[in-house]
Amino acid sequence: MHAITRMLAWTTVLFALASWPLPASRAAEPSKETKPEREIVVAFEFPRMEKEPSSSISLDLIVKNNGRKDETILLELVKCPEGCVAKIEQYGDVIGGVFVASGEKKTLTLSVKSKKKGSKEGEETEEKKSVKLAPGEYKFVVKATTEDGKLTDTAEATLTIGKAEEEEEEEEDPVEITCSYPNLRGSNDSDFRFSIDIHNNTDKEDMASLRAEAPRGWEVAFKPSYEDKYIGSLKVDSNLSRSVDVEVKPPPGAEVGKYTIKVFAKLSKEEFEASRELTVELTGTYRIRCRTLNDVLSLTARGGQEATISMYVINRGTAPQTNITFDSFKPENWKVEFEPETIDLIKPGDMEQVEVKITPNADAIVGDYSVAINVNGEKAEDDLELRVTVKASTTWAWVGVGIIVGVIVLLSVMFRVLGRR
Amino acid sequence: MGVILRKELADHLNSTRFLILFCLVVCVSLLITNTVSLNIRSAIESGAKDPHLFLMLFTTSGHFFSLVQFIAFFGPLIGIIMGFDAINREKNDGTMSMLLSQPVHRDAIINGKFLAGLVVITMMVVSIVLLISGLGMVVIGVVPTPEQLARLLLYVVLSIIYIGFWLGLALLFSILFRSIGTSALASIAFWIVVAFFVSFATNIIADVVAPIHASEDVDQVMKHQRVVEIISRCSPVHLYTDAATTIMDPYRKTTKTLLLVGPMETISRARFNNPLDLPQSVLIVAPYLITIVALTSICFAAAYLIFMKQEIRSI
Repeated sequence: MHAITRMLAWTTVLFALASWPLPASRAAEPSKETKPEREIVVAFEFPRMEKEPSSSISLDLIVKNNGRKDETILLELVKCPEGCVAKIEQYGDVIGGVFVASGEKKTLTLSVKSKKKGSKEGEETEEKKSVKLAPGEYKFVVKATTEDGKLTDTAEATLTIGKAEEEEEEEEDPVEITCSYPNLRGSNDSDFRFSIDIHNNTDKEDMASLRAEAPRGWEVAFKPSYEDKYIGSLKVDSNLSRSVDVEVKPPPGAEVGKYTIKVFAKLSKEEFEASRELTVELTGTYRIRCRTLNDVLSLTARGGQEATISMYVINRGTAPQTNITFDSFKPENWKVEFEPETIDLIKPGDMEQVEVKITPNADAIVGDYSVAINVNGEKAEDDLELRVTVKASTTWAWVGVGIIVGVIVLLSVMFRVLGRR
Repeated sequence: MGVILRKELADHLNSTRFLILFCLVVCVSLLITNTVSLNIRSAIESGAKDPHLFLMLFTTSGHFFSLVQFIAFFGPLIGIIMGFDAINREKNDGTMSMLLSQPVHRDAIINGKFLAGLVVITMMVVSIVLLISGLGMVVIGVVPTPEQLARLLLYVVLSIIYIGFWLGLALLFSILFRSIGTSALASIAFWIVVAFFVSFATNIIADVVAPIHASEDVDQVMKHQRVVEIISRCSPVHLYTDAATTIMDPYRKTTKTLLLVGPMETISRARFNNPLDLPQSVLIVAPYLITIVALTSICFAAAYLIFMKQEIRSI
């Protein structure tokens, strides 16, 4: 095992020599000429390095003995930036010193790992999977000292961690909300249902509490998908996500326009609160209602005579109604007229009075008739059914009373005149 | 007058004529109740009870007649039998001059005779109606509502006036004709013509005045029907039948038998098929009621006038 490691080390060195002919020839130079008594060099192979964010980064460190004497060199990491832990390693073993024979060089590895807030160094290996180095510049200084402390050398390397893509950055948040359709459009009475996903990026399952900020009068409720209950928080397994339905109900009188609803999610064990904006675009509702005074839907009429009933047309929608016309279902030969015949405009919430004039046919049989009135607005309509009771004309009754009175008068006159009393 | 009325009434009630008539009436009413109520009972066995079931006792025809039809056609006979010999029998017997020599006014005689007839008619009509109501209540088990009672009362009054017309007519004939046979025949002849021949005659006259060439021509059919209606209104029997059935049936909204109704009107009317209230029913047949009252008054007035002017001598 040891032999193999050594052989590998040698090959690395040989490979380095072969691939870098210039330093190799320079290194070879002093050996031919008069070498200094003692000289050590420590250097990073790539002192400037740019990297994508990852959990661990390795830097090659070269330790070289240019002297004629073999040296044992102690290595020390002098400067390590905050937020990360660096170790000098060789094949997984932490190294504090290295023996370099005269004219030889050794390649070691400076491995850099990110340090998690508040966590102990010993746990780092466990956590390296999930935690990545934050973007920025990291400066490492390694100091090499001979055993007797007479010779020192320092090597410096600057590691630049580039900014990751946004998504990856967000994944660093412990909790996250995503939504595939954050924009919904519809009328006031339609259901707005957003489907959001709550991601738990931590390693522990946790309760995520949900809340929302909405304009005044709006109702926002959270519901688990495919379940009919309202929730305030939910459990999310580690590194997994759960989808939640957000039901948004606009107030009935909400005006046409765009409204933003902000939803928030927070894990109980984390400070961070994720948020996402959802947008609802109201297109307005078109609704008209018609009703009569006191909601009385019956009236009495006589054949051939006009009967009037007042009707109110109310705009219950959120969009103005224009050009409202009226139709009627009535028996043949009846007349149903509207005053006014059309209404040009009713603003939302306003109402207009319409006089409905119903004239039954002069020969209409007495009894109850159904007359339906249809109010046709723009994209909305309403109807009203009236019961019209046609009553018999009383003229005959008065004629009859007249005749009977006449007969009685006639008889009494006759009794008086011819009575022979 | 009270004396004459009491005497006439006693005469009527003691006569075999009245007894036969009354037996006939009782038999007929029993027969009507029996057949009609059995009919109604089998009709209501399936389904809910019609709230107007009680009145149907009088308007539904059983095997042959409903009460309304019975009184329309045979009610006149009661009136005629009561009055056809009222005056001329007294004259022929020579009792009239004796009566007039007593201290009674002449108008008291005719008024008393007419009123006595009316009282008997009232007794008969009321007893028939009560008999049918009572038996009907037992057999079909419905109790009339106040409105139905009002309709029934109006019907009774109308029937009395209608029979009163025939009484007045018979009285008039008994004054006009000396012979009892002639006056009886005249009354019966008038009754037969009005009750039976008019209905045949109307169709013949209507066919002449407004012939129907094509049965699908609505205007022709309506015109024909209009003529039929106008002619049949000349008959008191027809007037009474129309008035009585309309008063007794709250669902009957017109006296016309044929109507021109558009499809929209049909739907509109069918939406609320409510019964009429009594004043509306009365208003529909107001002209009929007035005519019947007027006819009765005129008949009696004519009889009165002629009797008062007549010279009465003993033979």
